[in-house]
Amino acid sequence: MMPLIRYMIANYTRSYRYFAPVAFMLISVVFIYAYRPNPIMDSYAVTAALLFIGSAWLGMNFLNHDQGRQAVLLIVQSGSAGRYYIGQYLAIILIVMMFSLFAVGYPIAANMFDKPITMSELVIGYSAHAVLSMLGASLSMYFQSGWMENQGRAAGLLLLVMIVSLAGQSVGNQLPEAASLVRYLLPPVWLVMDMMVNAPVRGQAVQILAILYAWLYSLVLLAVYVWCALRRDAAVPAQKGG
Amino acid sequence: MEKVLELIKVDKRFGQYAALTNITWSLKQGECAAIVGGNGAGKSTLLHILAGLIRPSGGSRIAHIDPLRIGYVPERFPATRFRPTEYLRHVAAIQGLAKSEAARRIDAMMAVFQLPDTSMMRSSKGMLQKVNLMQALLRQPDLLLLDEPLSGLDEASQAEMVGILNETKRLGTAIVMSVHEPLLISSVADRVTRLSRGRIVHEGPPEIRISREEDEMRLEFANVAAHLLSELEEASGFLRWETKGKTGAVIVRASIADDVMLHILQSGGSILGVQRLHERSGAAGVPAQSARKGALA
Repeated sequence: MMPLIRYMIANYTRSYRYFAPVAFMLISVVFIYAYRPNPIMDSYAVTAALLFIGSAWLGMNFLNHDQGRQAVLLIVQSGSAGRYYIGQYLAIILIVMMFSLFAVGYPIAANMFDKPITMSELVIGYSAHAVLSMLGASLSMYFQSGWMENQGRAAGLLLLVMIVSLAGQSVGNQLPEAASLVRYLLPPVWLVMDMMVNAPVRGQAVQILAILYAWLYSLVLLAVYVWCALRRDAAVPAQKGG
Repeated sequence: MEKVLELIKVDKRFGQYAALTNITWSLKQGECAAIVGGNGAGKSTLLHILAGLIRPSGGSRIAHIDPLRIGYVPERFPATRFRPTEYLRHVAAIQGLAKSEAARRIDAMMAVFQLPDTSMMRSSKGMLQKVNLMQALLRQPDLLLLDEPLSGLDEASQAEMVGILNETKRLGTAIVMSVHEPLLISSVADRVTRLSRGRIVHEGPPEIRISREEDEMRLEFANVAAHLLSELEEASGFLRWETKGKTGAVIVRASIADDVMLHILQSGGSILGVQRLHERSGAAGVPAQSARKGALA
């Protein structure tokens, strides 16, 4: 699997199409910490949400960067379509995990917080970044050109899903009491952010549960994606007419 | 010979459109089948089903070798931002080849295909087609699938491709190719499967036809003395030199090709390749295998 992932990342980085989402993630994190001091968990909540947006953008960009022209060859070369789809996902995850490390490590290294960070804040902070990056990457799989031919519409829909994911709390508040649990069906970005912003009142158990829920949500998204992808034809020869 | 792959009553539908209907077909080790038919006949769909890239709507695809190593040569190779050796090193790693073995195979192939190691983004279609074939042959496949492999290649590259495919077949690889060119069918294929509207309408050996006298033949030779070259120039069926020298290639009328070859051999020279150039009667061209072919083994 590693050689496949290495090839995918090398091919992507040579395309230079990574520039926009990578620049977005790096610059926005640096911009958030333009002044000191900053509250730890509130700042981490913002950068984790930005990373969620950046990961979804980078994921879609990664999956579309060669319009799937290499897909058929890579499936045959790697010996299985499942290996190819999982390889794509892991390649995106590897990239966004590096940005999670940067987003968590930069303010510590640059001494941008209002007080020294504790170990539990560091662990919760990194887990939140990692899990929201993973969630963004998982969502992006459904909006790639192989799944949605009209990429203008795909980008619009992904944007809508991102907004709803961030505003899940408000969406829940607008719904009648009986239906407020519907918000838990939305991608739980709002839940992780709420857990971080209100860290002192939520308690550690709730924090861990929120992160686990977001992690499970991502895994279910990935599992459904791979299940559906394996039931589709990897090649579409009808387009050529042969 | 052991069967490599088998299709039993395979159907493929895209919505209401039946791309393949009731296909029962199999292939043995070292056998080469040419798939022919017009546009929309189902050739590419059949190749993709054999490659496992498309799921049959009905029937079954049975691989008799597990795991079945497949090499796939699409009609259009997507140029990457790598140099050929970089790309092939990645492909070898993906296929699980050891680094040293990969390096040996890549070096041998670069020599066989005489490919410059420059960016693929600046390569011609013929050069890309060579990389296309190299990636499929890198790890000796059990089954090699080719979609219009001669498309866009010049005559010299076509002859080279024919030689390489024959050598690959000799090493035991089963080959299936979707083709139009009679040269490839008559030179490499053991049988021809004709598709029409998604059904097999004919299955049988390729037709071998004999050259007519006005056909042009390309003879590739080595160790020929200078005086013999002069004599050859004056022969009535001599047309032109492709490369003149002790080792070279000459184009002559088919009517004198046998005599010229006999003369070269009797004088101590060697014949490296014979190829019919112009398709007037659909006759077979059979390039002799050059010494370079051993590099693929």
